[in-house]
Amino acid sequence: MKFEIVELSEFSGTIASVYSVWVNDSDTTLFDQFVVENKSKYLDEISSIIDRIEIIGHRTGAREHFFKHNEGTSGDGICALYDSPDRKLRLYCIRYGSTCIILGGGGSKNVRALQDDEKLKQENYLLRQISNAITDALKEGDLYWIENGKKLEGKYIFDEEIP
Amino acid sequence: MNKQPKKYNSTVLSEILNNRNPLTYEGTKRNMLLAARIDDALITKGWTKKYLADTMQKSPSEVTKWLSGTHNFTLETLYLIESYLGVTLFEVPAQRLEYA
Repeated sequence: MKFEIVELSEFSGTIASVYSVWVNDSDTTLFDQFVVENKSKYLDEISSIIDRIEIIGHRTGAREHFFKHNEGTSGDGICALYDSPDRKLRLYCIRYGSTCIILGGGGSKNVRALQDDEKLKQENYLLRQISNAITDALKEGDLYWIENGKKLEGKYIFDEEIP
Repeated sequence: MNKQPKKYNSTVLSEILNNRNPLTYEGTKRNMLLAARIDDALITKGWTKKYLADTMQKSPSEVTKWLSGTHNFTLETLYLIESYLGVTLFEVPAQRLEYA
């Protein structure tokens, strides 16, 4: 799998940086795809998610309580933007403290267990792979933090076999 | 080679941002800023979310919703939280309104 981290200009602000990824030479990010897939059916909810992410970047930061944690495996930072039971959409992301998030994809949460929903499972597992590759690059020093942990610098294009 | 990830302007997002309802946005911002202020007050007091819930005799899930930035607070709830945390969350200006 090949992917590239890109910074989302609309969301990144003085408090937190917001990134997403292009996967396999797609010209839209995972977050764009999530928006496109759901805006016709859940426009109000998509608008609310977009507003919240913009406010995270510019006003509040990616506070712990704004997310549901432990949506991936231990330590991979995969979480979901908080969604109350009456909401229909789930958006997965990777959170790095309160100063940086990488937005993935998601979908409508029709069933309770992730394993029972192919679409959510696919989006979640894709982001796990991306998170693992980023973690390895951070450990190796190929990718590193600048501006007090707010921005990423170094290797942002990944083209490798991911198990 | 540039060392930082490219900045990406999404036409998909721009379209939605350009057509959004300003009142809805302001409401979302208010709810998130209130949640952040409650979060800061908890950190300052060294209280956990569960401790606040127990102290206020609320369910942990209700406090989770307050802190999620998605809750539409009533004035009554804000005053109650203020009284436990000792912070101001909502303020009515003291001066009288001047009518034209």
